Amino acid sequence: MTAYLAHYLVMVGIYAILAVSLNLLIGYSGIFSLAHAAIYGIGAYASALAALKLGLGFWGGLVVAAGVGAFASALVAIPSLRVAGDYYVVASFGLRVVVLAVCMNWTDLTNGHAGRPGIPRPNVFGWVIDEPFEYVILSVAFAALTYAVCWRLTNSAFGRVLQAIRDDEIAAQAMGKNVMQVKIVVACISSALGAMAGSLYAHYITYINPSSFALHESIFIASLVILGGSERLAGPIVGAFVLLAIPEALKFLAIPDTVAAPLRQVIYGALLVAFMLLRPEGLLGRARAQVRDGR
Amino acid sequence: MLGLPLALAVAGAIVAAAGSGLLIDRFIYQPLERRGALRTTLFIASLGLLILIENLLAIVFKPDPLRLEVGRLADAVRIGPVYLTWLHLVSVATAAFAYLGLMAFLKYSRWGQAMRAVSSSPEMARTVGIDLRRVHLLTYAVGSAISAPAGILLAMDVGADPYRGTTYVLLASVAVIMGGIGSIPGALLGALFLALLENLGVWKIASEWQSTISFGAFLIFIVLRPRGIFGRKIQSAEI
Repeated sequence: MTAYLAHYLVMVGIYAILAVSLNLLIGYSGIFSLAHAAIYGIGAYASALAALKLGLGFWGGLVVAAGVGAFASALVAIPSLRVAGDYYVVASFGLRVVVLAVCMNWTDLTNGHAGRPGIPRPNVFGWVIDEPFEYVILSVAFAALTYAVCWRLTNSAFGRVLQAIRDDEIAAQAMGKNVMQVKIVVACISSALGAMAGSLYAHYITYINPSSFALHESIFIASLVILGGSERLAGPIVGAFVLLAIPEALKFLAIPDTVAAPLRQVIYGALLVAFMLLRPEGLLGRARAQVRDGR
Repeated sequence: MLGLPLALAVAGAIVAAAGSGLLIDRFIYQPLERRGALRTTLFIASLGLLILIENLLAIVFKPDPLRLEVGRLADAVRIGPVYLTWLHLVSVATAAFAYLGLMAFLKYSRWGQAMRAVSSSPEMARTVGIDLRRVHLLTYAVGSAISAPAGILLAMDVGADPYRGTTYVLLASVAVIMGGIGSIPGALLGALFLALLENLGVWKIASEWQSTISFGAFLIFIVLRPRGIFGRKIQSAEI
């Protein structure tokens, strides 16, 4: 039971990193991204390969993951954020398709569908983290670090520009802010943090394969943000606690595996629709007057 | 499963698609729009619907691909140096029929004209007595109905499974953006271009990279011509 609880907490930590970093885009900049699972996957693969092929270990892998994640994000953000928000959704969706194709088909590097086993556990100043509860501490520490970075960022002058862009892009531009540059920078920061979550995951499970980073993961991470409440930094963390508990609760019902997996998605989908109809600001959200209409 | 004749099955599929489009608009999108919800809210609701419906289908019909038997349609035909199946020809004919039908509907029918009026100026359309809600419902129904033949052809060609839709949603959005949002000839050209590119790409590169090719082309395309082939010049303020 304690090992079970530890696993739940590690995953909450990892998903909290993903959701808090994605919220920089969704909640604070008004950019909807479906690429976060791809970034998560890029982080996991980059870190695993750095450890397995280059012998860089956990810390080197973490740095490589953050760098590669930010780079991949820039590659998509620079063309698509130049134009308009809607294009970025499609482009970010596309990044996921490409990342999945690379993971499945570049078999020399990624070993395709079979995945890569044998990723080493992290080593913190000579202390190997391999007990579940030790990993809880590591994962929660990284979640706290991400939270601190995002808190600092959103409460800085840069953060205020972000929120100005979210609320009125044209006004921000008229005030002389370089809107495009700010958007691209925030996309890269968000991805660097998200890729670190991938690194933590890879070294925790010690085995990765492409199916861990599929589309429903992207929608799941976005759900954590939306259902938790994107107007506050802590919202996505609440989302992670609540939504990760749902599959655990389903395990207590005697449902065959083939039904349980889609049923989980059905519940997430129904929750998303219901929240949009009844409480679009999420669990923790402040109600924002919804007066701005696209047209 | 039921052994119904094909024509009846096709009609059923189109009615079912139009009906679900209607229901989704009536009970989800319209309440949201009435409340003046943000575009993101609508988009998230649609994502929720996507995974909800996809996985309900997976529970009801099992996730394995379902293939429609087509019999003689799978036979090859030779046109000059090119080998095709009858099914391929039927697909092209269906697309042409859907395209011409839609264009004629928008141009000549009262409802089609109302749709175009709402699209160009909702306020003006309301002033001249067009019921926006009904036009909206109709648009969703027509849009959904047209997607049904694509699904049927797909089920005949490679088989249908609950999770296949998202890839096609992505490809369709890419085609629409490439063609220019709001232009039907543009969407057709975009689709044609994308399909050509993927298949020419496969000729030189392995087929697993199909989606990577089309997505790469998309990124280059939006840098060079963000408004698409036939699109009006877009301003980010509109989006």
